[in-house]
Amino acid sequence: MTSPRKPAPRLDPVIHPITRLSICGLLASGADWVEFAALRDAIGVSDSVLSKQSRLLEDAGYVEVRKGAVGRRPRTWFRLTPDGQEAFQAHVAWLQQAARVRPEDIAAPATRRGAEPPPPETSRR
Amino acid sequence: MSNPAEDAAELEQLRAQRAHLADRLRAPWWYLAGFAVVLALTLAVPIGMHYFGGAGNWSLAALVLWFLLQGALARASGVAVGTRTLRYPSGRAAGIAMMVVVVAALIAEMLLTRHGLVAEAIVVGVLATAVGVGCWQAHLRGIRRDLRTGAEAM
Repeated sequence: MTSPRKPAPRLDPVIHPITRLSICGLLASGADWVEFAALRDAIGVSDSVLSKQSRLLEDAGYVEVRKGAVGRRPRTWFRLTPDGQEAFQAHVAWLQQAARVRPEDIAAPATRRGAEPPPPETSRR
Repeated sequence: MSNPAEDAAELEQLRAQRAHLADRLRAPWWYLAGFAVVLALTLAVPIGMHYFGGAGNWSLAALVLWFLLQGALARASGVAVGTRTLRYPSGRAAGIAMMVVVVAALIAEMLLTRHGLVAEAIVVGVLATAVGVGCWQAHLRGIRRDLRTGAEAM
């Protein structure tokens, strides 16, 4: 579940690529666990892409994975860890802040009082 | 540079994906039918006690069935919300309303059966079951709304 305190906006390079942002965003929606197929269909990616990206999030300690089976069919369930939850909230706050920056603000960031410097160039895919 | 329009579009895309995920949590007919059985079993306890002297196992059966239904819904939808569903703010009022309806109906049934009005007690049970299922559907709609918006689940 979400922590009561809102973390400071922060770019998280692990969450930044769009597929991993989607995975974290869906897992942070409030569900206890989300199943592999539900996650794949909601994001619209292939099994292999979801496996690879979720493994990276698991390695970073942001996602917990539980494997089980229904009959002979294997089922994989995901959920965000508290670290993942916090990192995601901080990253979304950063994105919201970046989305509010207008092009003219990016051109002259120093002229805006209290404005954050424009975020650095980062790879999204 | 990060593109503000691109960042805003990605947040919008995330909203659409959450809506897609939330829509999977629509209760199928068998879930609602099973939930009606859970309520009917619970509300049959006072009448069962009147006729058989003891119906404590019925409420235990109702509890087990409810846990099984929640597990089955999670498997069918791919979205597990657990059993502590009152933590979802949008669905809380409907969930509490269902509990109030059940408790009020149980009290009414006990009073009615004590005065020998068993038929009236059955009518109260049937009506409370129908209202309770309606409240539970509203409760699930609230949960879907919270999943869609990512509202903080406490």
